[in-house]
Amino acid sequence: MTTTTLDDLKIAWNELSQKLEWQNALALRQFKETKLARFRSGFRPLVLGQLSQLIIGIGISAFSATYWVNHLGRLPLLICGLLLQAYGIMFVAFAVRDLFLIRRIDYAAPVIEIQKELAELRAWHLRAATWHGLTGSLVWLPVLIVLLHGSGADESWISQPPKVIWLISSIAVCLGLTYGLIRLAQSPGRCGRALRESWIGSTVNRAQAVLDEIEEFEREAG
Amino acid sequence: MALTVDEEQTFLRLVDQHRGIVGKVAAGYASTAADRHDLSQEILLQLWKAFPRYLAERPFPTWMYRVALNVAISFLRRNTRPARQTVPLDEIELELPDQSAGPNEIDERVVLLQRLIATLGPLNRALVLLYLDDHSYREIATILGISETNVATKLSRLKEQLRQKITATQLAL
Repeated sequence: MTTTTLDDLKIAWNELSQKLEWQNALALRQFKETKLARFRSGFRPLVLGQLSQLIIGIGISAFSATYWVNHLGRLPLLICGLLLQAYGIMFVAFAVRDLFLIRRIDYAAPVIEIQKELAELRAWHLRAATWHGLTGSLVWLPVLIVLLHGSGADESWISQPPKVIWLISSIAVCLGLTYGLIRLAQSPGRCGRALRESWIGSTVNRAQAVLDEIEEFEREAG
Repeated sequence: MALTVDEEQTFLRLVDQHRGIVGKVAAGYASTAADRHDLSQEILLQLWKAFPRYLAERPFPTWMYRVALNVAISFLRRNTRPARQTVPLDEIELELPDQSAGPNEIDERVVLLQRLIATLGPLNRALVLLYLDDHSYREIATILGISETNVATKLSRLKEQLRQKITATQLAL
């Protein structure tokens, strides 16, 4: 048996490249014939998700601004309008930051720089998803009130004690559930571990692990 | 930003001249023929999209390597669970390049090399691929965005790891 050295591996690498030569040529030809043709015909992949989020956010903001301005004298409706506007602004802000992060990624930049930007983008998506989940579990209340009011219901019903109790308890239940879920995810027990190892938990860990790996790769010069 | 006909011709000529880079990077980050094909297409697409920002005074292969490695690392992270991004040496099953491609028999060293590469993490793979392709420390540092000293230190450790793995594999045979 002959002993393989690193120099042998370099030779093997070049041999492998030669073996792959026809596949490289084929890949390029296929690219020219399919993808390039589509690009020439004007096809551009758009960041549709972020753009639609931006449009929805602007729509919510515009509607809710008009709404609360028109209901300055009615406190419950004013509060609902302001909450909805804050929600719309959050939507817009998240979409703008997303678009900014996506646009700044230039694949021709040094590998470490881009991998870090991609990992940050992934981590940001996860944080944004948490915020969307949290606010989404509460925003249905002002939406419901605005819709009821829009359908002709008198907003004075909100001031009725049973309704107020219902509203407050609904908010408390939503907040309580969210808080409980967060605490459970932090707990050392089996449920907590299951939650941490669920899709969201493992994705968060994965995004953080990538950032840590890049940092270690950058640092480890000593 | 759309390319003019001349720019498109230049792009295709340059990519054709250096098409081996796409193949080598795809071979380093994908083990099956189907994955290699998908990755090659993804790299070519990103090269095309990034080309309007390419500055002609910069070396094309360096630029191409950066794009190809960035795409390949993202491809590996996206398509493989973290635990499978580095695969233990004895668990690797490779689908080798189509042998109708060339007259040579599969070289044991090629198999060993691909197995060794698959045991490395995405960033270390990039480092080893550039080393195998005989790039200078300076070029590797430029492509990866780390210092030359860091490249030297890491490569020295990686070479030692590879030597140990080679020895272990050969002893096991």
